[in-house]
Amino acid sequence: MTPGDENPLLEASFLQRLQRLQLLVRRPLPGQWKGEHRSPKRGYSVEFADFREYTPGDDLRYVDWRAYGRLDRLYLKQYVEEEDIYVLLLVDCSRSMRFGQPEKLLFALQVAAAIGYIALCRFHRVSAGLIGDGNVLWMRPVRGKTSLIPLLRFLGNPPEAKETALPRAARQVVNSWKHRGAVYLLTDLMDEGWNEALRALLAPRHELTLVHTLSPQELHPDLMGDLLLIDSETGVTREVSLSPAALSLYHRALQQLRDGASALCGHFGGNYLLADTSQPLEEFIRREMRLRGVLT
Amino acid sequence: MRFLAIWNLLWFLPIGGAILALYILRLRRRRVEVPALLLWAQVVQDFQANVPWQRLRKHWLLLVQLLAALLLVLGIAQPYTRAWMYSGEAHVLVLDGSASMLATDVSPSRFEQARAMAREYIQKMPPGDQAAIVLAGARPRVLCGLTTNRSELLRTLRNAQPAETGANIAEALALAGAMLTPFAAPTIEVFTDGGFPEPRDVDTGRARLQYHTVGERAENAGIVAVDLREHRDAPGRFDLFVVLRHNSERERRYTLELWRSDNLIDAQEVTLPARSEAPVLFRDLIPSDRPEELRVRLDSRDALACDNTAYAILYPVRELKVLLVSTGNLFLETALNLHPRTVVTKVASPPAEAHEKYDVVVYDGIKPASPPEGNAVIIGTLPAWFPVVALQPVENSVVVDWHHTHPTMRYVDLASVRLSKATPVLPKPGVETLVEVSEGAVMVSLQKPDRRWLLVTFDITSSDLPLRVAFPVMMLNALRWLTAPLESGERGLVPAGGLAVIPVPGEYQKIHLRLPDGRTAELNVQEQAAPFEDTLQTGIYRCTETGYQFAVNLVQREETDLAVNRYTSQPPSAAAPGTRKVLARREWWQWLAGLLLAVLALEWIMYHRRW
Repeated sequence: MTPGDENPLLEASFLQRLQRLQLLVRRPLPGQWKGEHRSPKRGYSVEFADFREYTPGDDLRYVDWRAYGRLDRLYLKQYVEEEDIYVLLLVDCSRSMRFGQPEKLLFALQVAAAIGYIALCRFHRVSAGLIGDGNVLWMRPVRGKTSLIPLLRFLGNPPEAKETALPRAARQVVNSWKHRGAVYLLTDLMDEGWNEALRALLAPRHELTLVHTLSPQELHPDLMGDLLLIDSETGVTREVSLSPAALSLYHRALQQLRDGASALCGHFGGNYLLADTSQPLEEFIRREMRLRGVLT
Repeated sequence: MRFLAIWNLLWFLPIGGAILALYILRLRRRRVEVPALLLWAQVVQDFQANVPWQRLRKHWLLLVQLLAALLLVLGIAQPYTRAWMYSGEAHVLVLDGSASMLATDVSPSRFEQARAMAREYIQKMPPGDQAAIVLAGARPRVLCGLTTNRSELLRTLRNAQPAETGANIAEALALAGAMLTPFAAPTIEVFTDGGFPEPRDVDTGRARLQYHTVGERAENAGIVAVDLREHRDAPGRFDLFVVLRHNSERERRYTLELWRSDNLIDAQEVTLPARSEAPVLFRDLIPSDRPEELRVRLDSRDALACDNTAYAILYPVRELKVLLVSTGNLFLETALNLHPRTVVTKVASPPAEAHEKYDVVVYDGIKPASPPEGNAVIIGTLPAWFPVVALQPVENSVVVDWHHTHPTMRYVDLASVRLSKATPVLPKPGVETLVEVSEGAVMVSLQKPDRRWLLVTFDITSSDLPLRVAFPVMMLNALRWLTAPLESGERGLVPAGGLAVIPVPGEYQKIHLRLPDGRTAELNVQEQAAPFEDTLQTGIYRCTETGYQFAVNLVQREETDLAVNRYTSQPPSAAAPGTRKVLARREWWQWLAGLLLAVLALEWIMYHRRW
């Protein structure tokens, strides 16, 4: 059985092409087991990091005998430690994410599954959280390619949520997930507290990548005339008379949202990506995410 | 500004209120679910209309609709101002409808420019003034009587058409003056090119005469005279005589083509010095056994087209049978025999039904018992039935005058002809005097649709007339005139605008006349003739029933010259206050209506562009 047979999120052929990619995480992040990512810890790899004075009990194999010959003092050579990283995939499953053609939530889950699979291929520890109504539905950390099927099963059953309540969910993530790692947040940011939520996620020095998922109907709304707008999450209605001038206000608000989120992520060393759900998934993963320095 | 119906302004309250109410009332809006209102917050803030004052704020469409309502209400309130305006009370617009107005020296034509000027005049007339439109053609026609209805005036003006005739401006002015008699300070506005001598002697009463001149000077050449005559020396052969004239300041060469029944048979080149005319003769046209159309075409493109072609009809010839009822008159017999195609039969007393066998019967000293049934010349006797009043016989009288332009008097000089005995007569209406002595007429003519009579009241042998050269010429002319409706040559040539009398043998009550432009006119027949005076087009006219044809030609030097004379306006000839300024009411509702239309158009655009 292939993962694609059990879950419609990703096709088997696409998974094969994803194996060549790897996550690009700029800052050193501590891991648990030996892995491929540079850790802030000192360890035993081939990459030299620093010297330190010998203290009794140190392994004599790492004493720099040449330095001892010249200086008559014992120094220990230290090497960069390479460990796995903690990867957290957060997907907004609120009602607003079920809009668009194609649906934003499906697109976000597919992107999350792809990132998860790339991380599993590099032996990173992958956790996932599905956000809805301010709660986070967790999947325990998994490691190795064989964990793809449980990951896909988890992502394939998003909860039926109404609203996002992104700040509450962010606080819950920060409190529950004690590791420092790479966090991938896939959301449409349709929450007035998006700023607070992003700050909460960025505070523990995670490397946050925000995938701002928007449908073409949101990027270029085709609405005109006298309308009664209904908020899908809250059910609040507003009467508007839409004209080209009114639409320009909408576009300005959208641009402000994108600029604000991008600036905030940039300020804390995170990444911001706009995901237009009308573009093919593979093109987004293999081209857009590589261009924006999320994958390599 | 004042209002004629100021209370109508109150209509703005319900109309404006209704518009506002429609805006305040909730519209049926399309329900659209959006992911979240987060991004629509600014839009909702600016364009939401939950409460009336928010809904109405900055709503340009509403303002435009209120403006339209205001304009509508202002319009029905009939605003007006008082202004000093010229008032002539009544105006007659005389439109020159002659052929020269067809000239294209100004675009599209002189007549169209005159029409535009007249239209502008009507539109600017003070309210309440009356106007009439007279078309000055060969005969003036009142196209629209005095009316204050401007729509009718403008419609009449739109339908007015010029004719290919001359213009009788003097008659038109006299007619206009007569129409304006009851008014104190009327005006006659003449829209013309001034291609006529200034009519100074026309009495227009109190009316002030104002000329509006159109046209510029344009070069033109045209045929100004046409005649078809039998050759004197070669009976049965005809000469077509035309006169070509041009108004160019330079010498020019023209080509005249003669077409006979659509076949080009002759062409002549004519060189005309500056501003001159020249006769052109096409000789030896032999008639066939049926009437044929002759067309002389001037190969020239100029400002006026209708004078570039002349038309004539070449009829078959036949012998002219003359019956001379006389006891013996050598002079008369010789004179009658001079005509080569004349066959003279001499009898002593008139036979019965002579007029059925002979074209002309000449009664020399023998009084016909009853009015002749055909053409007749009665010499030396005075029948009681002839519509003249006999005066006292005179002796040794001298001819003092004669009708120089009558066809019978062509090339005839009767100066000092002495009559030893004569009975002068006083003609009754319808009888035309041809020759006069000091006491009265001694030769008269009477023309009826189907017959012509000449009456000579003196015995020609008791005068020196037979010894004059004028006598045989006069007799030849007389025979030609008497038989003109039957003979070729002189018949069938009608000047444009002139009266054509169509002989209708048989029992027809109505006939149909096919006009040059293809249309057909129905004519009533009276006494075996149908008069037709609407000869407004040049060309060939043909009777459908009898096949009779006649040609209409412009032949007017004034029209061909295309002269433009800018006559100055004339003050009224009679004592009158003249054109005066009056404090008149000027209404503005038309302007408001126009503005309202513009605002409605703007509202439509704004609605569709969602401003």
